[in-house]
Amino acid sequence: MALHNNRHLTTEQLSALLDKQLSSQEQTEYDAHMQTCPQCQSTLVDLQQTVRLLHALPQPALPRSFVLPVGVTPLQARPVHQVRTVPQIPQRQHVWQSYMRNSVRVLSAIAAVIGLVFILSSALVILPHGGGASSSTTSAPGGTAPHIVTPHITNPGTTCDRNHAVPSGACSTPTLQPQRTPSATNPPNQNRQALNLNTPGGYLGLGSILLLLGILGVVLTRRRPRRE
Amino acid sequence: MAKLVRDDEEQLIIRSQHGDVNAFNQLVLHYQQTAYGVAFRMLGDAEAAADVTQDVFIAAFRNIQTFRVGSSFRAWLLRIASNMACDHWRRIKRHTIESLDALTDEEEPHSVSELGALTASRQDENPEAYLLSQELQDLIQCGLQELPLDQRIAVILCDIEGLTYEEIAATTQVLPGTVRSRIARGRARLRIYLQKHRELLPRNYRLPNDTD
Repeated sequence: MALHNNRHLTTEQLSALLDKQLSSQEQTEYDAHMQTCPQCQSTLVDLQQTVRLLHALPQPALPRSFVLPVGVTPLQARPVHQVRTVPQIPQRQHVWQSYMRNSVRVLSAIAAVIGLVFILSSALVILPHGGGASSSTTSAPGGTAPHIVTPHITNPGTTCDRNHAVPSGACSTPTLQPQRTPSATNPPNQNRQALNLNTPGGYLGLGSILLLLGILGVVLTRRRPRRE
Repeated sequence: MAKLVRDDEEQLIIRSQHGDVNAFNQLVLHYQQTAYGVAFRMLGDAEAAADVTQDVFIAAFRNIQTFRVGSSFRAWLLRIASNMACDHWRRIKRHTIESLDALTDEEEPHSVSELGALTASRQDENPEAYLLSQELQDLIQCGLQELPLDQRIAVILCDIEGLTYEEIAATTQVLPGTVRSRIARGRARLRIYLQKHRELLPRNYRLPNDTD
């Protein structure tokens, strides 16, 4: 803190001067000021007296020993008064583990949803004449990802128009390969391309695997209740 | 009790981290006076301070694995102690002393009754000085309890327990500049409080800025 001429030292500056917590430049400046300023000298003496009184306080006598009983383990140690909460000391490991667990849980949930979508869309195709009778655009149940599954099934026998992008296995004719157009918003297409699934059965299998993995991940990362 | 050598202390901490309660109790014996002193000066009540101190050591043993060997055990322990004392203070809302502005010269400062029986003053002090010391202790303790918690812990750790600014910064998890500010403001407020009750101060402690 720079000292401006004609201004007195602040309480904080005087306090730091008392504790010798100054830089060499500050020390020089403040010492020079103290030599010419009776007001600051008086305030410093006040502070010194106050600190001296605090120094003079005797240590309070211990009412008892605070040693822990022999045989206590860290898990068994409990506060004397249960109503008081023991402040937890932040543990970086626990924060990191919590972050990882949450991330895995979210990814598992996403995988489960995608798997469910695959299964349902495959089922619509595999079911005999079940998908062909539909003349309207169907979407995944629950509207989980309506923009992903937009089959254009008009009537039986209708082939997929390869000139049009068909996001997912919406074609009623299993033998035809739907147009595979890469889309940044269409993960199932990318997955299908990667696995080269040609049949709804393969799609169904992939969906089952994803659903199973997703459910497993969510269950395993479930937060267990703490034992108090 | 002989001062623990740093290496001995580290060994005790490591053994404590492996569940050795006897080793931890050696640390308790070494630091219990400091921890109790901080709690007592923070709260002004012997029973509450004893409870908090016991909780501090229990919490310290439970969380001993989180302590990084090589860093200051005293700062770590006092951090627990100050946090728990502050929590206790906030919880019971101990505001039996009126605010600084409301105090008048005619009013007696709040007397913490337990203080008189708990001083560790030596027996060879003359009785008159001893009485004055008890009253003065009461006065200073009341003044400390007038301070906001952050200033109170800073003043206690610096001027009563003798910690450096860096140690206080480590204990309270703030920057040294903040420590410096809190100590200064705490001392200033305490000085104002003592000036209002200057008649209780011993002659040689009379503040030079007294108007009478």
